[in-house]
Amino acid sequence: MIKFSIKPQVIHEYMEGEVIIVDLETGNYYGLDGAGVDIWLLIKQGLSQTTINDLLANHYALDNKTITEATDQFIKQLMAEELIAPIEVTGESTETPTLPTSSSFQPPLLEKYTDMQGLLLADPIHEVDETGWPHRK
Amino acid sequence: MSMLALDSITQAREFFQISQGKFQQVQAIRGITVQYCRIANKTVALQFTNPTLIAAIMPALAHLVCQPTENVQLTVLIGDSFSVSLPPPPWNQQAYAVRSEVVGYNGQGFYTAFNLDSGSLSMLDTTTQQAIYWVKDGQTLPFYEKGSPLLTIWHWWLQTQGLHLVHAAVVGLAGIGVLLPGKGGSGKSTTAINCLCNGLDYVGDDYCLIDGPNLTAYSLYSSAKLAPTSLAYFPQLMPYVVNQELLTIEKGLVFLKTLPDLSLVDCLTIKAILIPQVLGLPQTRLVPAKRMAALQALAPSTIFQLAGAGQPALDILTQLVKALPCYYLQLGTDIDQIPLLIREFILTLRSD
Repeated sequence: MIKFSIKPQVIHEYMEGEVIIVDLETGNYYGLDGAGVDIWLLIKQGLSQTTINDLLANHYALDNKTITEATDQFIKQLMAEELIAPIEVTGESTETPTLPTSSSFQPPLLEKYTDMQGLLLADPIHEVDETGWPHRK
Repeated sequence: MSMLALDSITQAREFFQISQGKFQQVQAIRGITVQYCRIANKTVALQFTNPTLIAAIMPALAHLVCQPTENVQLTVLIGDSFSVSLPPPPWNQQAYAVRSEVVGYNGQGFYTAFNLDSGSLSMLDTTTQQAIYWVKDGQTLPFYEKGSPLLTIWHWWLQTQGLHLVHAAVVGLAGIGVLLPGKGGSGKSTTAINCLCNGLDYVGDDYCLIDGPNLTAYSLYSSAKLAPTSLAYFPQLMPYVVNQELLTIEKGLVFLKTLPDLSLVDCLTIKAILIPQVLGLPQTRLVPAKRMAALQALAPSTIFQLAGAGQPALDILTQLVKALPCYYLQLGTDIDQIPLLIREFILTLRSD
């Protein structure tokens, strides 16, 4: 059974039907929309991908194939961005899942923003002087 | 916490104590100069081992200077390599991380950061309410550190006091303020200075302190950093730009306390969030915005600049946004309209 863990450097917040994700290592931040919000919240709750697909298919009254294709692609995007990592587990979460609030399925959307990467002050090239303290080259 | 992690914290504590000792040695031989500041109803003593550092650190804090007192909540020891010879750091090269963090040397009340760009060390010990700010050479501090001195120490210490640094401007009138979030280039600083130059009250144009539960913004810096294109709107500020010769490569830095007739205020009660947008349209307008838009404008640029900020900071910013109505402030090309609209809007907030 495949579940996903949210990477430790990733922080996130849900508000009024949307999610913001901030990656403290890369300086990227993301907005989630549509069923992307549902998937993220269910991942956060520790549900397996199979259970997520079943839940969404049932909630939105859509066939499992449509949901699975959308979820698969979205989860691949999240993994490609290194926001989540797969973990192999044997049991399902016992937490009562939070169901989507929307009644109509909107394809999951991951919007990525890279405009603030520079704020993270990536390591300028530096060397250490005779006092042991670094300084810019 | 792992044994390795505990080891690092012990090293941080020892290094801090050794460094404090070095500062005390200098104090005993040559004396120190102390400046007192009042930040959000808290008093801080800044102890300078090299008086030349005062010119680098104090102008942006000039509006907070208060009378000497024994009732001090934080003492910051401020020195440079010319006045205080610190031992080599106990961490290795691999410890330097993004946001100037020194990995492994933060925890159990200790905070450590080293800014590789400016060559400045910041440390805080919350158990003794003492901090250290040490630079290689205060004369070569970049303009952004002179404009926002001791930022990392303020961030760490003030959050323990229930106050949170935000990357936002705050302006207002008669005790009521609006918060303008946004990354560099969004128009928040230009808008804030525009408002200040047109008679509104000003808390800050780049960083402010927020008391979330009380929706109060406190002033931290009385400096303004404006791109040359923005400075062009305010020719009256040009004589006060302290780095005029460097405007081709850095923003202009103005210490507002040196200007006459400007309303710099200690605090304002925030009643709305206005997200600046430069759209190139003639008219300035306020348009309702989703709260997530405000959080997106506020959170990444705040959190990415503050060493150690993480989920708790995002939670606090979320609570702030949830408590306030949010609007896009669509900035028109006629900049004279902007402070007028903001003034009118604040007057409507006063009657709410």
